[in-house]
Amino acid sequence: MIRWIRRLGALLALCTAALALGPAGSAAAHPLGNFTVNHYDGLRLHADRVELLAVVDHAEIPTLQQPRLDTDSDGAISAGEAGRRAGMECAEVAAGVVVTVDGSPLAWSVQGAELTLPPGEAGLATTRVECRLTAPAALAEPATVVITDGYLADRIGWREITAVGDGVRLAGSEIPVASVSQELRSYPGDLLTDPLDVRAATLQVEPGAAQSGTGGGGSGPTAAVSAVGRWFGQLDAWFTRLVGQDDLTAEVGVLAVLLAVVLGASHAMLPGHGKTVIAAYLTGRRGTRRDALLVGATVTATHTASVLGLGLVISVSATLAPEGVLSGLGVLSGLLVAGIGAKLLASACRAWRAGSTVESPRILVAVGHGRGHGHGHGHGHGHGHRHGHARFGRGALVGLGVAGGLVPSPTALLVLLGAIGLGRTWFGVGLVLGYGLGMAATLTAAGLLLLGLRDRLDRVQLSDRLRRRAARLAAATPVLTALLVFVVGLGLAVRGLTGL
Amino acid sequence: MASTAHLDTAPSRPGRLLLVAALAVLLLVSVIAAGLDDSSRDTPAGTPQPVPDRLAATIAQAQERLRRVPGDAGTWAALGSAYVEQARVSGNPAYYAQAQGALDRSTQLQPTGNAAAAVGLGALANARHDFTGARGFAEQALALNPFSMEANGVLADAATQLGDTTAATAAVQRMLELRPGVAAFTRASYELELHGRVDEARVALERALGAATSRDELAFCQYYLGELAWGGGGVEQARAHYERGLAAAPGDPALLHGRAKVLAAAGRVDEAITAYDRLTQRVPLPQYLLEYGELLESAGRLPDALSQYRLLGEQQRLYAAQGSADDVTAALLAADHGDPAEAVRLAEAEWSRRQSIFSAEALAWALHAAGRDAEALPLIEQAGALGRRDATVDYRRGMILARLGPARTGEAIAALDEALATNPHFSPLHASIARRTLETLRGAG
Repeated sequence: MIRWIRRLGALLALCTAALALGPAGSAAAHPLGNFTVNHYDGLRLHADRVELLAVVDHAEIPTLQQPRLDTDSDGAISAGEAGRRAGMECAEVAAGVVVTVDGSPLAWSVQGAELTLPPGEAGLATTRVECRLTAPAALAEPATVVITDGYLADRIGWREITAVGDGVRLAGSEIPVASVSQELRSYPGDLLTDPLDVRAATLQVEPGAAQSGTGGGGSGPTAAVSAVGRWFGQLDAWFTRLVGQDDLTAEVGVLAVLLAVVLGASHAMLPGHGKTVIAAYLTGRRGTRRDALLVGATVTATHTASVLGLGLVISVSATLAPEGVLSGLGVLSGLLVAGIGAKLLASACRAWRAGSTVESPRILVAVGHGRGHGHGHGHGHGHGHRHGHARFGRGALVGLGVAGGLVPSPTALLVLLGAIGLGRTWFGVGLVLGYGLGMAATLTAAGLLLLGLRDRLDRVQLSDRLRRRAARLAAATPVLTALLVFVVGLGLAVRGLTGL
Repeated sequence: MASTAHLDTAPSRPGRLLLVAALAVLLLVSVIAAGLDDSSRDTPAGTPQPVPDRLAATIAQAQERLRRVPGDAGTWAALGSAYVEQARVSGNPAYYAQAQGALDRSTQLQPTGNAAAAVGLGALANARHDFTGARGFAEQALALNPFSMEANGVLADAATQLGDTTAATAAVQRMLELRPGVAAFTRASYELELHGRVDEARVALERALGAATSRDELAFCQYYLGELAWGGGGVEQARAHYERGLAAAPGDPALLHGRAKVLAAAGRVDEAITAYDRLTQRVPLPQYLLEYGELLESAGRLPDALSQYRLLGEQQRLYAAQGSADDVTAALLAADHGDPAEAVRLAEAEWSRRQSIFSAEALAWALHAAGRDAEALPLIEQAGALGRRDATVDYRRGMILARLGPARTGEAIAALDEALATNPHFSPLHASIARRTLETLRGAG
């Protein structure tokens, strides 16, 4: 027994087999390692039958492990010897590859069996067996065809299935029409794709004249495209064109920063966004221009810090799930709003008990970015319009600003991550800052605009009756307003928590 | 009025602003930390469930990200390291080529200061038996980031194989300090086992098992617990560990190998042969082929055994053509089942590259096969110098001593007794040779 490989165990020994795959890549080496057994099943569906081209590619070691081909030991492999072995293996393939039509299995007959010995490494041979199987099948009517390849199921190797319709149409198939490995002759070396391991497929067959494939990708992990993924996808093209340019000139850099400013400005302008709503709230506080600037600056500073922090963490850890952090931030944002709501509620209740009646400023309840931000921009924020009076300190304003800026915008995050990925971290930070400046500009402008609008409204003469009614309503609403802020905050927190 | 006062005094309260800001930062940090710690929110709190294919999820995530941000050197490095791990777990060597490609891409994108890529390249070099290269990469990575647990892991593995026990122990110690998890505890356990501290090694493995969160980690820990029990002759315990491991990871080649060994030890030879046959068809590692051949030989099926040895020989030739240097296996095969002179040549080549306890053992055994037992003795003593209890080493020392004349007979008997006491099932072939030799020695004495 061999004891020198213990802890490293299989890891160490296994890999000697993989040496062929080294960087220099000896051309003759089997691309998938010397001990793989690789399968390809190419289905062709006709109205009256199913044809299958099954290819089995044994690498060098499995070829050596098979019974000797040279059965008469004359030193050469005759056509008869090869033919007999091919026939035997194809019979096993016919038993191992099961195709059912609406649940009932087809009975294969072997039409052709061929064995070749393509040269492998170190003067060793590999074995390539091609089996042509056919079976009658009634596919003139719509049917479900299921293929399961159970031949040598425990062997390690490439497994690929393709399907084409000939006189019938394939609908809803997840498998491709053409072989990416050219029927196991050339294995693709895409670094971002796992070795193909497709062992089963389901096809919906419909009558149809023209041959039609389905063109599915049929490879790689079908990881659900995450929400964050969509963000990245949307802006990837724009970003890589600009930031990823090999010759990043000063002009292009300035242009990129300007674009970031514009993007930031338009991001803050998107409807339903908490930041804008907070800016609008300024009017309710009988806000001044300084307040507009304060909220704009707070949202922008928080947002920039949030993007930089999250970007930094994500860029150092590929295992971090951005969704988890974002939903956490959503919860945090919601709790912050709820906390401010609770505080407002307390002061409103004090005021209520004191029986204070003050001229009622308009309040537009502000809410932060919900977690839903990460799931497309179309969601509506639960903000309500209330008239009432409540007294917010600047602390509350800043708090709402923080809540509004806490959940990073996908665009800014993408810009930063991409720049970090390209080794242009400082450029990315500059772009994020530009983005934040754009946001600040929009928010402040929105605040100032609303201040102007409010002043204009104040000058409009209201009828005395309307004025009295408004005053009565105003006296009753501060508590409700504060309660609403609180409830909306809690709602946001719960939404972030449950991942809705 | 209270509310008015509030309004007026609010701006003069920077303390509150600071408090809000500080609170936000604190929460932000804790949220991010929580995201790092446990990105799977689906797991019910308090009941850590094994994640079935965390590795596959990591790979898919990295692939997805790199399709979007193809210039991200860090994720290329992480993907490369994950591919190395996937090659080990799945037994599919195609992942090594993927790993090399991904790590090369990372290095290309960030040629300097790329510690993550150096770690991945080191792990890959270890996997390919290029231990010197692996140590170089680990040192490179540690120069950039002395707190990298992964780099210390690569260094520990390489140093162990290169015979630099001091460096290996130091690296494992740093791993334990940096992140006492599965990787650190399993390596610590091996260190302890090599020094003969079997009980402490078991404790370390049990702690590793406690820290294991995914199925592949559970299987990994159970395998080594099984190996530890097996090394001490605890066949039943070993069986239990292997089976528990297989429950977590059915089809894991290392655990199937354990199961086959246990069947052979239990005397269920036919089942053991079937198990080895299936294992070597699927993952024809040199170690498995050699054990399979020796099992067949001990069962009296010499022609079948010879075909396994032939296959192993062809495989060694194949690896040699590819530039690999697994001369230890080749030397042992030649020593026991082939040409002793060739065995000595191969073992000396290995010894010239690295003076580890493993290459010392191989060279000693090759010299023994060539009849040069006097030269073999100091080497086999060196192989056991750290104090490890290993039946095979004791057996080889006993066999070497037995040839050194009547003066050493007592020591030879003691060594062979020790081997059989440690693990009476260490090899179906060699254990019976040990027993026969003992009878002869006792008869002569």
